[in-house]
Amino acid sequence: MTVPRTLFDKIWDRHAVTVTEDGDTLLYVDRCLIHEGSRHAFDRMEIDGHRVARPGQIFAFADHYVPTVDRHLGARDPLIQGMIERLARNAERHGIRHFGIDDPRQGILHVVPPELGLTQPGLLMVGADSHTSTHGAFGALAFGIGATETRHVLVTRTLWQRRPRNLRIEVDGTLPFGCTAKDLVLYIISRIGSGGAVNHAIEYTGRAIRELSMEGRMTVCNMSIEAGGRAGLIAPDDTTIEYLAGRPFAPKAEDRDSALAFWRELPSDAGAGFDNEVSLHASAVAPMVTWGTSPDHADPVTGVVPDPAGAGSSERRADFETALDYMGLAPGQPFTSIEVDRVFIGSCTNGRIEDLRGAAEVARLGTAVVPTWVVPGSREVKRRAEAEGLDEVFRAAGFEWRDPGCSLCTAINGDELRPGERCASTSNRNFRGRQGRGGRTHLVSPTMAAAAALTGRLTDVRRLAPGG
Amino acid sequence: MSAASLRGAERVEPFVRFEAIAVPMEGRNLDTNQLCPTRFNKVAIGDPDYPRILFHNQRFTADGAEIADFILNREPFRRAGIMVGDENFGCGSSRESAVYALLAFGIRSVLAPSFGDIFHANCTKNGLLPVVLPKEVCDRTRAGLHERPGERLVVDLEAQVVLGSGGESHRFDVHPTVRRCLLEGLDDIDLTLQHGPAIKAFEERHHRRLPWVFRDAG
Repeated sequence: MTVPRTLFDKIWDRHAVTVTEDGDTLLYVDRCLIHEGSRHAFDRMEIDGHRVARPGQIFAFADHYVPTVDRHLGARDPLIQGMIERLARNAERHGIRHFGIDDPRQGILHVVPPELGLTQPGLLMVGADSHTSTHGAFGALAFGIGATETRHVLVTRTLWQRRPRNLRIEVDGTLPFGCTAKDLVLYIISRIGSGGAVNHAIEYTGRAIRELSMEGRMTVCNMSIEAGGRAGLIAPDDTTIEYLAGRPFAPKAEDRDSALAFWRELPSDAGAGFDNEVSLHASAVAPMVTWGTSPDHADPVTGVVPDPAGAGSSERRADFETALDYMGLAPGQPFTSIEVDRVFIGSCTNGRIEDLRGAAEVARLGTAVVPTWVVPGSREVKRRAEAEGLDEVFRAAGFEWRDPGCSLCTAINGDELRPGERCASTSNRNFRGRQGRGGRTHLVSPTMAAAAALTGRLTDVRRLAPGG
Repeated sequence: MSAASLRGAERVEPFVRFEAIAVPMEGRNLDTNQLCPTRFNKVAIGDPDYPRILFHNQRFTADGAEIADFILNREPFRRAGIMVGDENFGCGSSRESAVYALLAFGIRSVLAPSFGDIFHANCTKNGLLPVVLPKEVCDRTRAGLHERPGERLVVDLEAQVVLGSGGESHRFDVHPTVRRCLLEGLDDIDLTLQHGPAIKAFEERHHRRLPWVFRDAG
């Protein structure tokens, strides 16, 4: 009789090359995702005379540094242009597949691999970016690593890790009207805290999770890192299998039966033990906004800016005070009275086709009164959106339709806020200065962002919806 | 840490026992965007301006002038080599430049109740020792450093203990492999390459079991 195992355990065990007496596991890496920022890894490899062990398992993406407008001119900053070219050179030199600035499949490293079917259940994936947790939506074990660990993977196709603990987050019930996967994950983070899942791999379960599309699941897993999680996983099911069917790197006919059999074995066994469990109910979710400088500073849009005096401990009070001071907000102020200067729709969290469809549906209801950018997560997303006429909807509403990349989420290439500017953003981090020095970020869903564009304030999208 | 070792011309600088002025950094969830704002990720390691990157947005005005009252600009903290933080220190982005920025400023060890997982790993790969101590110890230590600026701490990895100048000592746990790599300044690629045959054998089995994963992977 075998011990019941979690989805995480099964993937971990299958990829363990060796385990030391001290509990270090050498894991085999199936896919490694890199981007322009991975230069430090290559620079050091050059010094040591190291080569990439399995170039076919490495995938390079021009996303963090690419301009999202007037691309033919290149990046204005020569250092940034150099980063883009250096990635192309390193990829060519080592025989790595490179989705460069001119590639028709170009896009964000957490948007493109799922589109191509590179992200699959049961894989162990790493990426030189913390939001690699996104790929866990397919029932893969995927996590972000730094430059030195990336170099280790490039050179050895393996990585030393200590086994994190298992955390199950179960969300029962159905998401209420007007709520999206983004609202759900912001709600989860507001409940468990920005450090709530440190040293844990999260498995999301329950009806509200199962009912999400693959895009929605990716949004949830993407932000696992904002709760400190090492990874976020969702068991593969029919939704996963249907999404993958026919994608370029998905299993072909000859492999389909064995792949399906493998995938069906992956979900956590009945009775599998989790080190920690959290149970939430989807009926408590509402359209969310963040008001502070940490992703757990999130509340329903119907609320008011919290009063630090009521925060509980003196430490939380200080935390709230510092955040509100940076954000330029006063306790008791209704969220819907907060005026924004700009709106950003995009990023690896919310730059997928479903996100743009949701935003477009709201954009049809009016005209933007503040500068509003829509930055698709990939060229494929852009093509599909254009085929559906979404670009026309956005343009008609005065939204700016741009080229794919990380853009205003990472604040590179002039895609950034000016000091004091306030932005309703579908990205993942409201850290101080994240979107530009002195910039103030309110994290919201794509529909909420579009609603803010039309009113110039944080807005409850349910009040804009026809019949709402 | 010397610029030469940051450039990677030699192995990681060993960490055995380190004594330095300690600086208290307040705030939970202090993210790596603050340690190294994104626009500096493109700066080459070893650049003479690297020491100015750490907490740049809080340390310098947009024109590059020092903001006098920021703690890292004040004496004696300008000369700090140890940082004492709060929960979830180094959360957020995986940028290793956050660690390079700390090292370039002169910080060789950070003490906190908990760390972001990726940041923690990045530290240990670069000769910077992250020490997990109970929250009340970190809180008390920071308070003491505010009251007595310039106090020195000793972080002794060999003995796994942090010593305060008042004679107090705090034992800490450290994973044996992390300890060994830091004490000896090892690059773990060298260790891994010794497992070459095991990796090769595993890989052949693994590729046979999941052929579709690698069919197009060359």
